[in-house]
Amino acid sequence: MTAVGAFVPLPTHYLFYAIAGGGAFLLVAAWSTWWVHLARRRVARAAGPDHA
Amino acid sequence: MEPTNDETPLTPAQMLALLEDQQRTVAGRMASFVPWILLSWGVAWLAGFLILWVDAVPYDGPTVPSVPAGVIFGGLLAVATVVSMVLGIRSGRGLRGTRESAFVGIVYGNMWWIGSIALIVIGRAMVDRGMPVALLAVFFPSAYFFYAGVMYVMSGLVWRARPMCCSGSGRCS
Repeated sequence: MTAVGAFVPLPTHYLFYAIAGGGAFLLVAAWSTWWVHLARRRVARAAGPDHA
Repeated sequence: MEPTNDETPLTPAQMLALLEDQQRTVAGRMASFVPWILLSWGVAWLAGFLILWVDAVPYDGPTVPSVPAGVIFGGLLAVATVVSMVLGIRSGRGLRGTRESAFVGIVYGNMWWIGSIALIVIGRAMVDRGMPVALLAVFFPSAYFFYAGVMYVMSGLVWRARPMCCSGSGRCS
């Protein structure tokens, strides 16, 4: 995205970095939330029904 | 005297299962702060660059951001940095790390500000050698975007976090 952003006309490049940069962070935050949720479920399953 | 159930030695398989269970618990606890750090950076980047864009739109060309826009942008990044530091410290509370993990954390954490200062110096040096000041508006966002991507790939490799690797490599490309 850096290579693309460097060629985006100014000042629209700020808008590009807002959406590409901030949006990517938010998408990965959602992904990692799911990732952590799955990890917790695996731990609960491994601990057995008493700890689930 | 017969040993009670609690004192019965675990088999190697049970010990391995217990060890793996503990490792998963610790890894899950340490990773639970990652989404909040990413969320804080997402909000900071999104709001910060939108403010720079709104500030620069009237000029329709290369221009240096105004002081208020630059201060707000820097403030948002500073808040995200503080949030990351606080959550990172809290995630490791109660855990005894190794010297190796401490070394990795110290080097990684310090590389953020060392690299950031280096990029500022490089930008100023390019201006001193004839680059128009207004082109810093192209150089700084691109350079920081790229550098953040490299650092995210590094963090993903160090802490085995695939989301960080994907985010970082996407930024660098």
